[in-house]
Amino acid sequence: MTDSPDAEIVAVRLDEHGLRGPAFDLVAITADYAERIEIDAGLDALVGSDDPAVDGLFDPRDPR
Amino acid sequence: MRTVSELGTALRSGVVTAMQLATEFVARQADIDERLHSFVAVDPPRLLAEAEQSDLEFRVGFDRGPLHGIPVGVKDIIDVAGYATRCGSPLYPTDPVGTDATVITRLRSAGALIAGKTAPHELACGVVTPPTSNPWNIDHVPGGSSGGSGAAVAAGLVPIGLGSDTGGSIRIPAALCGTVGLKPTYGLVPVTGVQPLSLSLDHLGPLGATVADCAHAMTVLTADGTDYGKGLDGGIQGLRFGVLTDFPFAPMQPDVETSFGQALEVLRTLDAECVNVTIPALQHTLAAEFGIIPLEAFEYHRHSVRERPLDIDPSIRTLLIAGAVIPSRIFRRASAARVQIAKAMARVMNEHHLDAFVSPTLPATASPKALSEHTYGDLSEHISVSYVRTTAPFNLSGQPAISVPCGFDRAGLPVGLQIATRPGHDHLALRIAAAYERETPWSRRRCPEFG
Repeated sequence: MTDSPDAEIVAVRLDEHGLRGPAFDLVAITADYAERIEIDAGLDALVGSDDPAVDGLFDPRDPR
Repeated sequence: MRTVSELGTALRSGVVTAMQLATEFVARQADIDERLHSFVAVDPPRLLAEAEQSDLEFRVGFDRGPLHGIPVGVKDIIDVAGYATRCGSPLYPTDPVGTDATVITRLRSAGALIAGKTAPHELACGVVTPPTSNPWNIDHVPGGSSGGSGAAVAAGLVPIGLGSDTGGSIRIPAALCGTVGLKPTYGLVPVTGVQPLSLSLDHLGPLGATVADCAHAMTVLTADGTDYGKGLDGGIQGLRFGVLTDFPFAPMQPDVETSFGQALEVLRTLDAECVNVTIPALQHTLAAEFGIIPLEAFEYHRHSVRERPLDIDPSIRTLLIAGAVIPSRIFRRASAARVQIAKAMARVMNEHHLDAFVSPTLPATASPKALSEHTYGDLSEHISVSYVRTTAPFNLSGQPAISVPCGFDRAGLPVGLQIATRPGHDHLALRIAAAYERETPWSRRRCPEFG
């Protein structure tokens, strides 16, 4: 993913959440999950690469 | 497999009693579930007591409606007082819960018998539901995450099973097991008392032997005053359907494509119009779906991930941890993308004056249990992606979407037709599916080994 957290940032985030140890595989998290799904590329295509505010609350009954 | 209507007629005419139905369920479940593994918990004495109460009510003329005396399977992420809610995971306690989920309260008020808890994929986060087998071929997966409900309905153990659907988890097992499955409009069926996966995408709904069975269940589950069984015979003359065949609906297996083409012909013979439509935004379905699920799922499961990570399947653990480490801006953008996708789908419906979208429910039939990837020509795809890409668009949009059997592949495995109407038009999805079902033999075909 274009903005994927590198290993150092991932490690910090895991620390923040108390998630350190052999069960937490950084490669699997950053490469296998997010890149395989190509989340950033897909989201860029739909809403751009900026950081837009959420476009209102989602209401599936709204027919627009 | 008998339907709710058939069982209801038999119950009211005295041909059969609720006690006989319950006794039959207990015996068959004990017999075939050694191979099928569709239920994870049953409580025969309690079921028989409920059946006795039903028969007593029938005898004094107290009729609670179509589900009165009908056994129902409940996915084991939904609280049923007296049963533990295990979610297919060692993380959850073995102690029984004390309170029914709202949908269970409604089922009980309608006189349904709680047959037991059906197997979910672990944490409702997967598409294969081990160790449950597909009744059409026990070496193949039943789909997931409501795989136990799909297998139990297909095997004729119960005419209705409850499921949940975050990316397709009702429609996937329905399609793979040859049953009907309805993901209702988002929010229509309450999720109180249900373990969540991703709250903004989670839906509860029924899997049934027939469209009418699902309709009867919807009347009870929604408690919104609508009789969803009414109008099922209204036909589809003059309705206009948008046919979805671009990615993420393609590529698909050749046999699925053949069955889907034949289904479109049936719809046309019923005087509906089918037009090809393209929704480019749907190419990014998976980015939006999987940009939302991990963060919402981790938010709920963070304590378990922190304290007992080794009690979570590694692939699910990866998804949950991704929710901890991917930036929150991904979630915000995914939520914005979701709105764009929902708007694009609504815009196409309006521009083409559509009453519904139609597509194959899934691009592939039930995989052998050992298979982890589907191959479409040069493309290899993990089955958790392959089985979700055609169903997830309607989780993002919140539209009702129903899967109804539309044929079999050359190996004898079922194929599903997906019909998605506008939000709040669940009754129309049921009516279209019922019209198709009446014209075709697929819902009446029984599993050779279990049917």
